[in-house]
Amino acid sequence: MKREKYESNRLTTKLTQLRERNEKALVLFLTAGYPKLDSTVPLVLELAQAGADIIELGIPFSDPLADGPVIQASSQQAIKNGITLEYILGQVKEIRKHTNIPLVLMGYLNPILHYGEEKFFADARKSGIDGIILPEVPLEETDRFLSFTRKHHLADILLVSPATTDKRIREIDEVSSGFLYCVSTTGVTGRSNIGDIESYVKRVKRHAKKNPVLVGFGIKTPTDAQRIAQHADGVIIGSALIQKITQVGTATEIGDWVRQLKNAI
Amino acid sequence: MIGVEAAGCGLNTQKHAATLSKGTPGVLHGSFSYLLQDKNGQVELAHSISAGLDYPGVGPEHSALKDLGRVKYVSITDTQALEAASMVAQLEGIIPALESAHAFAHLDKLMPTTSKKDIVVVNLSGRGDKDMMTYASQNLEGKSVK
Repeated sequence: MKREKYESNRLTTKLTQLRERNEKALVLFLTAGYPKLDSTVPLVLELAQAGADIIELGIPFSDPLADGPVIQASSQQAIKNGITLEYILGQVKEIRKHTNIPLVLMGYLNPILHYGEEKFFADARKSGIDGIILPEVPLEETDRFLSFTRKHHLADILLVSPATTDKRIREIDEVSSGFLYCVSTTGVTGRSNIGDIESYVKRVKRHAKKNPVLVGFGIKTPTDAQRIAQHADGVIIGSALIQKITQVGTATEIGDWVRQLKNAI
Repeated sequence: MIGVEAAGCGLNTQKHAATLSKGTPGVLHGSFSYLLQDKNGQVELAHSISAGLDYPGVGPEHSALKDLGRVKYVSITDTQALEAASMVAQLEGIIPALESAHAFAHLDKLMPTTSKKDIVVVNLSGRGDKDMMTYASQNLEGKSVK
């Protein structure tokens, strides 16, 4: 298959800048349309202001098989709130009027197929998205999407897990662009204990020569983030942030926590 | 060949699992097949008294057989399946699984359309030991075959 070369965008520019400054990336994950349908734009702006480097927006799906209870519940609520893919892309356009923070979309296939496959990637790019994460799609099935993402200059962020072999890490790294999503455990998001993952992250770093390696799943505190950032190029935090948003809700408190996270790494 | 789906409380209600009759193509749990879903691609809840059929998707093989026209898919409600299970128990001494009971229930509709020379084979795919709690709660005792 003919693949157009992936062209750098806000995401790669940001990650290059961070590497040059010897800084680690803080990626924050939000479920779009949670807690209220229209919470997303102000929340993203608040997180960007507080020091997030990259925002990952989750497209809510009825059956989010990579997600734990916290993100599942937030997805259910967002669907009840009336979120749709069209609405999310509208929110992205609104965010883009105010900030240049790199934005990555994470989604399950079915809503994307319903929206229209190529139309989704074209519209995502037009609205201001920089990269795509499709956790359901294994390496063997990525070709069909790569032609769209490359045509529309979106980063393809593929995932590796502790079960991924060295050879496969190299293959996934080769196909990926933007960054490599290093899943901390064999399980779903938001698990309580990240355990001893240093040797695993080191192994991924050893084999993934092309992309920055960012670790996600189960990172809950500034201490967790600090531990992992010693070996990785950045951390991705989702469930813990959504829990904070659900529990405290005030912008100042969330902003303070984000600053702590950024300072810790 | 005929395939029998779970109509649950009826195909005209929201409570059924008739993915091949009522679903549209989509991806769930890694398979591209017929799915019960809304216009945004959110998967809907299925319902069937039979746990094995209570699923909003269906095997891709069935989806392919439907599209090929190789299998005709029909559906049977919870009540019809329970009655058929009782019938098979009384006539054959076999307690069928609730899933298979759907296939037996379709005989009521199918047999009048066949001739004496036709041979009809029913796939009794599972046993009913696992469904005893459901059968017991349905108070089928004392109801005998017409």
